[in-house]
Amino acid sequence: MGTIKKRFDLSVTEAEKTFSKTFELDKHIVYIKGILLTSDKDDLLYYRGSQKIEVDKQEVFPENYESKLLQSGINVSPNQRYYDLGNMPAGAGSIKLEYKDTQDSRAAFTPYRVSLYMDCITA
Amino acid sequence: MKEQVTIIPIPVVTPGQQYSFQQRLPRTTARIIGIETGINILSLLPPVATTGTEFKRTLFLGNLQLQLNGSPNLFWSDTVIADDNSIAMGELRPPNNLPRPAIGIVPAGGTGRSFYQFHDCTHGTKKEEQVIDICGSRLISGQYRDYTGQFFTTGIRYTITLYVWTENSLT
Repeated sequence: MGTIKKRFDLSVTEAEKTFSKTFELDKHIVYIKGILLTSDKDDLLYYRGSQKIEVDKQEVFPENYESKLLQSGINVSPNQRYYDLGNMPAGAGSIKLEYKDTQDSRAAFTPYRVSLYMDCITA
Repeated sequence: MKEQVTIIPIPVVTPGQQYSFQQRLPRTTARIIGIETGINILSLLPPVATTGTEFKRTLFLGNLQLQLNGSPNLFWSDTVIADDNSIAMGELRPPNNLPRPAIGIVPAGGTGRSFYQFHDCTHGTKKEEQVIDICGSRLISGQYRDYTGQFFTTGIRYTITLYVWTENSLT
């Protein structure tokens, strides 16, 4: 039994649109320990982002759950940056990310990348 | 799933607005275990007065209170702020002691922010819900009061998102 970190990327190319993508985890991953969102433009993800996340067709975070609640600044220790999912079974290993960009006056839109990191436990 | 979150949007469009709501929690709710809030600002924020130093006060927007149906007391009350402007206090400063730049329009092609520029998105702590333990009813009532009308003549349009974390009786 070991741990492995996985990263999945999604590009946000248009303002105020929803982008959806399904990712596949490796077959030997049995549990998901934690989840983290980052971006190449932190402020856009922080102020404009919200998402729905499903693991194996089970909703973990509902629609409109803000991205800032799954982000960690650089002041947070790297060991504590992940949102704790409490060893959630990975099932068939499909991860669905439905990301929504919403207008916010504090961060004007420019195309950006959303990265979903998963802290996983292997068999 | 043992835990579940209910999301309640609170739109604010006029200064001094009071917004009351009732929300029924899922049928399987055993108790409320945590509260979180988020904010999405739709109109431009007015400039906040400074004292001529790099200290800048945090923009206070309003007060949100929650009550359980059938209970006379509030079980949760908190202030809502736009951004934490004190986040840079106690941090390393840039060599030339430049003041913290105001958050505003992002330059085309990128944010252009360095690690010496302190914002919630880069230097904020991990967001965690405020832990509470409330049971007895599945109906919560809430009231939000906007206070920006006391400080600014122009209204600020924004939406507060309230997250109510609950634990289900079915595991």
